[in-house]
Amino acid sequence: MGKGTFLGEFEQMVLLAIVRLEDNAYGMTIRQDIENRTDRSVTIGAVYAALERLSAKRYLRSSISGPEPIRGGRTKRTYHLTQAGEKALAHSRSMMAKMAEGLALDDLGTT
Amino acid sequence: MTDQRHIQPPPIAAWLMRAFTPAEDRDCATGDLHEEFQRRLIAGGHLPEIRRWYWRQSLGSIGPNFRRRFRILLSPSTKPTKRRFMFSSVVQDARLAIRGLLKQPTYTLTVIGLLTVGIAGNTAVFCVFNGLFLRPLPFPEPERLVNFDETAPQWNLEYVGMNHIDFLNWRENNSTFEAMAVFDESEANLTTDDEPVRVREARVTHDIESVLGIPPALGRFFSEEEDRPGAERVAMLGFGLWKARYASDPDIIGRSITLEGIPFTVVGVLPPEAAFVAEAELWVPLAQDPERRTGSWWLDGIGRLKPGVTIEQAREDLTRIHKNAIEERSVNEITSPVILPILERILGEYRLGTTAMLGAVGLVLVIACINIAGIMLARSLTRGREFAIRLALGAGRGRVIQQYLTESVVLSAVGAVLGATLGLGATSALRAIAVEGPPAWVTFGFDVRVLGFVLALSVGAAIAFGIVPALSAARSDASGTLQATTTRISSTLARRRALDLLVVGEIALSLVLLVAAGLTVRDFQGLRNVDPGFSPENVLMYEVSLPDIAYDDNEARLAFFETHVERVRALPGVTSAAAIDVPPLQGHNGYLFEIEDDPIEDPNAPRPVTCVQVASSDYIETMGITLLRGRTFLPEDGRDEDDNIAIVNETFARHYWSDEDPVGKRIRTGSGSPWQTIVGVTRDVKHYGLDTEMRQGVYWPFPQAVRASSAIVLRTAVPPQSLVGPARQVLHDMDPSLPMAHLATMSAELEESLWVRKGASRLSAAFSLVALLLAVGGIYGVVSYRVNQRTKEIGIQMALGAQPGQVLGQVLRHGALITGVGVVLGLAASYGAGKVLASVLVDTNSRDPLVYGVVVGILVSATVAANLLPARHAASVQPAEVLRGE
Repeated sequence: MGKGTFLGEFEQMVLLAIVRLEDNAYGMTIRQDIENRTDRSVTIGAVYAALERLSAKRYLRSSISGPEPIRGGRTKRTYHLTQAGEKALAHSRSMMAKMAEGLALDDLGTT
Repeated sequence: MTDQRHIQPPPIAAWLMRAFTPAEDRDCATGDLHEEFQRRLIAGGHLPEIRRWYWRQSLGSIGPNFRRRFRILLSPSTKPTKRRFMFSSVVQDARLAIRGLLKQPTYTLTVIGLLTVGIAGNTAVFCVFNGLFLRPLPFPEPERLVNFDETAPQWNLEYVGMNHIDFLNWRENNSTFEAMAVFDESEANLTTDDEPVRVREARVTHDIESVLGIPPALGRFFSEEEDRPGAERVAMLGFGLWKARYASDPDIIGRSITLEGIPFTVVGVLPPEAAFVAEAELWVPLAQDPERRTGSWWLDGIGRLKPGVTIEQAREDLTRIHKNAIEERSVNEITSPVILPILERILGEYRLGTTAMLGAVGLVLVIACINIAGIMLARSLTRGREFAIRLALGAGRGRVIQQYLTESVVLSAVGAVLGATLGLGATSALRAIAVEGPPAWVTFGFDVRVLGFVLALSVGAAIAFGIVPALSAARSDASGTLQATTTRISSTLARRRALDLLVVGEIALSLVLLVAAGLTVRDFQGLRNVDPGFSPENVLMYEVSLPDIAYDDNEARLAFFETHVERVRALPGVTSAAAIDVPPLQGHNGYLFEIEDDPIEDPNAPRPVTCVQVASSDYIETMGITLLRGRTFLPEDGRDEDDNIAIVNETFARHYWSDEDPVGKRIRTGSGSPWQTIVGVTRDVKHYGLDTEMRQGVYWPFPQAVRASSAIVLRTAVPPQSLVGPARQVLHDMDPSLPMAHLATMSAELEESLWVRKGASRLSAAFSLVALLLAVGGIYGVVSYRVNQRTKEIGIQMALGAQPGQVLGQVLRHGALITGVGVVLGLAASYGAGKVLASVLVDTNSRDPLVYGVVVGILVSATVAANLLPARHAASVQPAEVLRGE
């Protein structure tokens, strides 16, 4: 795979969050999921920037839900992985796994 | 916090979020953020924390969104989408400009650097100005809040203070105020379980609730019944005090606190905004008896005008009421009501300084813009071909101007972001140098007005430095430029002259700034050397206030202070000690005096208000004040009711007796009071600060006018700070319930009293230095540009026999001409500006020849140095090489 399709760490996190959230994957839930699992502060702007990049690479498709029928209801854009997206995610994960194969990594990062 | 659905995220943060998010995601992204904000609220989060979270989200999103937008602009490979279709020519120009700028990092960085410096300075000073004068007070309809007071030019006093009788009269009879209140700022000893503390207290009338128009944080305000003499004692805690000393305990209402040894019941907690009333940490009702203190002016007034009423109408209304009462109160002949917008009264003293600083940084930005315009103009001469081709291919002149301006806008946008960030950082630095700065409730943070200011500034700057080269480029003659085959097109005379004129303007402006800074610095240096009239070194000072309940008569108070002074004097390291009710720089106690041999015939004749200080024996010696005539106070002075004495200062003596010896003359404060014999004359002490004229002054011996609160001054043979502990121990041993307040050394107080001038002199020196560097850079750029353009011409001259010295002289003459014209214009402008400055200068003539001489010397030598480099380059031109190169 060329450089253009390489998935960054944050992009992987976003994709994994979308997979986990299934039909409820939109900006807020994705942001919260990453923040809660990684304990690192994530801004909504960074999430949308990544979503835009991933959509441009055609790894994601999104659908807009119309305004909710309550007062102040708003539009939401929910995201799903495309086949290409699933493939790219799997590829990145397996490359990482291959690189890590047979290494004792448990001691890393403990200091 | 009953209905959380009505709590909205911080509006500026929300606006920033919307502004920076690309349109296609705007609704979704802000909606997401809003949703999470609401959820966190419902989950019971702490509101300020959630607000901070929202701010972090919004600010943190600017970076990714910005990068995202730039990627769209910069990547030529992205396929056009529906959105990109809408990009107007402006965006195309911006894209072109960004690419062009990235290819020329030196040029780009220089321009952005200049802009950043200019905008940073302006943002910082504007934040201060905004915080002081533009940001409304946090009360409903704050524009209706006013300060009212009495003025008496005949007593040489701009603000006398409010008299209670006058207040009652105005409050009852006026038709222009919705509510009027008065308060007295004072201090009180608050005793809780641990150490006693001194707190700032405001004694307020109950009407202040309607004046401010905000609810209490907890409990209630004072009722009318509680604001009467002899009523039950109640208090309201300030928000800060409640938080710090009572851990924000919600059950505080109804509890009892001890003030000056007397129990008070807490009925409410003030909202944080109320701190703007005298910065008080605690409120109690004024409960003033209308029959007492009829001849004192001691209160501060605050009122709320009726809707639509102007200050002038209110003043007329009160004046009518005030003057109608002359029959019963003849003193109303002398005093008159005066009304000011509330902020003007509290912060007015900062206006001149901040406005002057705003002017100075404004000039720096103008100079920076001139520099940039110069750089761009020079560049436009070399870029002439590019534009000539565009024009020849049919581009409209308007389009060419637009492209130039777009480049300017892109540059200034980057400069604005960097400058504003830097400027906001500098604001906290400004706050840090403000030792005795504006009250703590004035904040200098970022808000919509600062944002608007930065935007206006950057757009204005972009137009200012972009328009000259843009017009010059658009005017270029397409065919003529294209016919010249080399890129080194000889520029037209007119454009060279435009370049010269820019630098002339720059030199003139920096001269103005340098002169202003020079005068300010010299004035400050001069003031530091002003003789304060006493020796401030090695003097420690603190205040002790005796509560009425434990020290209920003058004998007890006098005994306490005399014993205390005696004991601290005995401490090792102390050479002498004394008590003084109001030490220098710590305020003012004014009386009107009558002279025995010069009886007052007309009670309304001008009489100066005199600064009275009550001093123990040894005070004059302890402070090192010079005695001019007679004697100082002795321990036995002032104890005999029939033998009252006073010491007067030089100004008092000169005012009433000019050259005659006042010792032995008698004075008194009113027709009923006893005569006091003058026993001595001292030199003036700069009681109101080194930069303020001293008034007439009188000292009374301590036993003659015993005070419940007094300062103690110790002159020490060792560093004064080392005596804080021992003196505190002495006080504690005498009465553990008494706090030691306002602990300071005299020299530190004196230094701090000049902090505004110190800050102004440092800032203006910094600004003018920047201006000087910019001007020197500008003239260097123009002259070397000229030399580069003329290399061929110089080569020919030298081939024809011109000597290097002649070439050198030619270039230097050009630089000298520009400098000379700039200096002459600058001197003329400074001379005019000096008149404005004269009103702030105390010690220095606004036409001080030394300052002018030094400034012109610095500027001329700097520009000559800047000229030498290109001149020597010109003189070293090798004619053969230059001509072969053609």
